[in-house]
Amino acid sequence: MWFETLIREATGCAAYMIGCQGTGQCAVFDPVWDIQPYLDMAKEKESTIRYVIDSHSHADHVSGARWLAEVTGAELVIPELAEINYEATRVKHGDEIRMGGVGMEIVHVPGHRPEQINLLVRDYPRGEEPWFILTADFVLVGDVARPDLAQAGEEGAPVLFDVSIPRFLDLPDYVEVYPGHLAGST
Amino acid sequence: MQDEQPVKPANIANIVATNQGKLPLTMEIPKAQPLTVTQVEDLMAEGHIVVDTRSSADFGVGHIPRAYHAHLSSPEFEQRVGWVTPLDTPIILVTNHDKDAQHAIYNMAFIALNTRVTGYLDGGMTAWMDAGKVTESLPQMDVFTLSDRLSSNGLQVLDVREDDEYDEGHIEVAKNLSFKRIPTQLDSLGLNKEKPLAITCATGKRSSTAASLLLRQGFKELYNVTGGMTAWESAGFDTVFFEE
Repeated sequence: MWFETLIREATGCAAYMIGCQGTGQCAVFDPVWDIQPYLDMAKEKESTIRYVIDSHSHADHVSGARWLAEVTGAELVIPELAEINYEATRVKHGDEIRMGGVGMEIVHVPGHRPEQINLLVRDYPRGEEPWFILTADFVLVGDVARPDLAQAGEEGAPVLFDVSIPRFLDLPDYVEVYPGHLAGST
Repeated sequence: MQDEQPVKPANIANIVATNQGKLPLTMEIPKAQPLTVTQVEDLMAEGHIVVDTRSSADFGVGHIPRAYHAHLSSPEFEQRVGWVTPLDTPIILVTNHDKDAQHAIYNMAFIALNTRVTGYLDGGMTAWMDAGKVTESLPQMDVFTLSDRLSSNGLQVLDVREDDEYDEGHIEVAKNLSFKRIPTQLDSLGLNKEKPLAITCATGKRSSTAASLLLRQGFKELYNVTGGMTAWESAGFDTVFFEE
């Protein structure tokens, strides 16, 4: 399995690509609007983009997911609860997407937005235990993402603390965490 | 004291709508179209706003009256445009070169602002001035002059950085309001539009953005502090910590 972080420095937005050498396939998680870096990385890895996944309907930047899926023919994967009006494969808590030995499990983490999902990733040839989680706009560096953009803070905060944070804390301590935003983001 | 809630991401409603498919997604690198001086004048009469992306120094020397200023070199450029301009209002860009206009519209596409750009002034401010059109200027004030003038009667100072930056050290008499909040909270400061006002930030870019907003609000005598608080502190002038 290979794993790459692609950061748009200006805004601190982090997108991730996960690939399986065996099948020559990869997935892109939370691509930003300009999709060229992902096309370039896939080419460099000699990999075909098989899945493009959006964790939620982003509020601070335009997603390149639909554009990337259209250009590559990849399967567009969107959370079940997202309010979208275009065609996509909808995923819910507990679903798993496999690419060869790579397992990408959907973890529903409402709060920042009702539909938000994170990706819990396993490399099955290495073992059954999860390796890392892509936390998008949920768990950030030293904080959690604000719950008052998609709904009133009074609605978003309780579900964030009662549902999503416990799900996160249930994960084993050795699971690595990769957030959707780094320094410099709005 | 600023409002407790952090400012929302720029252009948030349109970004969410685009991501949900309710607004069209731009699936190509957008191109800004060149516009003549006459076209720019006509579009402005119809309600277009001007966004000037050049340096604070260039903007200060001369810009189209009532232009908004946001320096293209800032990593936050497109967010700043989104925060300070009225929602959904069509934009004419003023830049130094064609390629800067293309760079600007490219950056703006990351937050769905590219669809607002009608074009850019071909030939930039040189073309505008050669055509003899009215320009407005924004005087620049270095920190030494500011220090001398602080004791003079009536000079107001506005620090447009975020409140945590301000709390870490500011000019004693400076009021504080993030430039992002000027469109909605300016009146809360009680500034006098008839009296001189020096605007500062960390380096002199955000302050120029803020000044462009205040020029539109009818402030009579504005100064952009060059080099901002970085220059002030390098010069060894006093700052105070925390708000009085």
